[in-house]
Amino acid sequence: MTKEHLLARLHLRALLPTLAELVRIDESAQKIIENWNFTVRFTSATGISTTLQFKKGTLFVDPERRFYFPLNLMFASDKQVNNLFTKQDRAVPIPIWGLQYLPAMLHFQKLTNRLENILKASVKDLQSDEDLLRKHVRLLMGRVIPAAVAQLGTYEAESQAILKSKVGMIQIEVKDESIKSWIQCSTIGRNGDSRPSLRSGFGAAPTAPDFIMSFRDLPTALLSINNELDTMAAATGCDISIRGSLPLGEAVSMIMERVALYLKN
Amino acid sequence: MQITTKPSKTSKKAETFATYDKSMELFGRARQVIPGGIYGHTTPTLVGPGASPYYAVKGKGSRYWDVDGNEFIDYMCGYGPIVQGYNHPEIETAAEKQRKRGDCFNHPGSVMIDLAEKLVELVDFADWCVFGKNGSDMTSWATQVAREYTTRKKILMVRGAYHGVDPWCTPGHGGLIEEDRAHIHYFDWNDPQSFIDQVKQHPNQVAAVITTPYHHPTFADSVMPSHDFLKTIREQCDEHGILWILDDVRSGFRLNIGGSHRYFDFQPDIACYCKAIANGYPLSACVGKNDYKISATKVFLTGSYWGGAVSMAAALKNIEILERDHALETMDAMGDRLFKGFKKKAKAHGLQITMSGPHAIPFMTFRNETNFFRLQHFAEECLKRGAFIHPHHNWFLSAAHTEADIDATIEIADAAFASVKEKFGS
Repeated sequence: MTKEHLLARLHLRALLPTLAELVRIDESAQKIIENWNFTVRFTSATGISTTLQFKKGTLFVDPERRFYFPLNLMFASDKQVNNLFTKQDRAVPIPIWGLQYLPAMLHFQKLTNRLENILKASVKDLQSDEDLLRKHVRLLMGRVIPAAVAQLGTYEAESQAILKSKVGMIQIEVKDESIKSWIQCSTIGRNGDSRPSLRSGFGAAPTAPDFIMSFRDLPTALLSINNELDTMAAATGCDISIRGSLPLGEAVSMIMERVALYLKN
Repeated sequence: MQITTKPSKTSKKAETFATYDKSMELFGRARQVIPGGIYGHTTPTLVGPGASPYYAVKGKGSRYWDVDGNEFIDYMCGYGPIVQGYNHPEIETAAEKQRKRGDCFNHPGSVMIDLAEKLVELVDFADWCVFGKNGSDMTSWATQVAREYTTRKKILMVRGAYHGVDPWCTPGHGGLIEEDRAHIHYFDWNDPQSFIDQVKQHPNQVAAVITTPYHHPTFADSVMPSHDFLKTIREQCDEHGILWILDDVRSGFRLNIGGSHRYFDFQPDIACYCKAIANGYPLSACVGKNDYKISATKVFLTGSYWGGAVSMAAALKNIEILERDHALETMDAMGDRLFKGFKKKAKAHGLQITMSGPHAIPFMTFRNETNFFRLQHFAEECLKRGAFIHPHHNWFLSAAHTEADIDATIEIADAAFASVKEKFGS
């Protein structure tokens, strides 16, 4: 699996779906989409797709292909996906069908810009604006990072080697902030041919967690997101509470650190 | 003992629990100037952050005290080295006597010869002996000796085994490159075929196999070796000219005074010792057969403090007492008492536990638990009542543990089991 393909996966399966949470928690984003009523599907040439359905001021994200007749934007390559997300060129995906919705997409960049403003907020801005910090941590710790870990754990060789055959449910949370997300590690295949398969979600873990990583507060979570936290000292100093299967938690933490190798820009 | 009084949910009378205010205060300073604050195997992160001692002050016999004044009956024994109890008077006297003469010189002391002779006498296959300070010093050096002797590259080791912190074997992840383990290959404990497969896959390339005498992985039950497994390793080594390195760092001189291979009845070619050799003084040793002595001379071996005479004087006295006082039998008996007591109390609470490992190096897990929530809670409940046990690493008995210590610990475990039952059910 090439780095280009993995990055496209992260863009389409971890970053793009975060728009749903953005419009749920951010008034500016809500305002942008309040009159949007269309469905758009982003599809890479290698078959990765994510569908966004805007309806009456809400956004529903579906990695499956359950919606009919959306505006289907086909990228010619994984690189084209990545270039669009990283704004490295102005390559435009090819509309396959649903052309009647194309005009509605003209303002789509306003929404992605809003997401970018929060995710890429400067440390100075985050330190001076608690609401911005809350949204930043919520979107990254609650959505982008768990989803990215799920993609890497399932498709990246290095992450699969880290996970080996570890299975279990992981809950990540920031105390007193109602920020919770989960990552479920399981394996598929058998008879010596099994490999990790991960999925993730926002909110409390759907089954009893096997490992819980709980950040004391938003600043601690922010340091962790930026890979600037002395995790060992934070755990011993009780800035982070870690309970349960430490080998599972360690493996997932290592994959979390790998996310930055792809999404640091 | 620094205490707070809380009403127990499981007992009518008030219990006194350990607190860690001073520990946390000191840790606040430590983390400013020390990466991780407390790093390595002594990190409280694995034991119980905020609920376990961070800094020790003094020890005596089977007990030690932390900076908060909490007293613990100790079942980790400095993670193994304390085999006679803390501050054993005879060992301390022997060490002090040497210290007054000097420790670090331009030359080794004659005590090094005395100790080497003693170890060669004790370990049945040993013809020579060298010294280092830590287990890794010896395990890594032993692999080099095997490579020198065989002129081969490959080392076979058991998956999940611990042999130290050098790049070829560290359980850590940072700072490693693929080449560090390019010639390290893995097989499964107690799986003879898995070992045979590795030997077959690397014909005439395997210099050595390194194993512990029994499997004591972190986060899992200890597993005794099967006769077939040990027999297969010996046969394959003999057939293919592979050296068998015994990493007896953790259990050496706790199970059998002649080395753990005699406890389990097998014969390695080289063996590494450390923890129980000098009752807490820094020393490790490696012994081997005469066949490998010339190769041993060709692998450079040194360290700034590796000739330190104080540790060697302490080791000599420690070994003398181990033999004289039948200390290993004491540890075995106390461990057996602990095994039985824990099992009985767990059963009384309707909890299923597994006690694993030799009696002198016990470990406990809750049966069918893979996420350790119960075990972590159990350990914290024991800690706050004054018994230091580890939820993820095997424990250690010392010859200083008395029946009274064991019985007090069993009562502590009883309360801890009750708390586990209350929180998690049976």
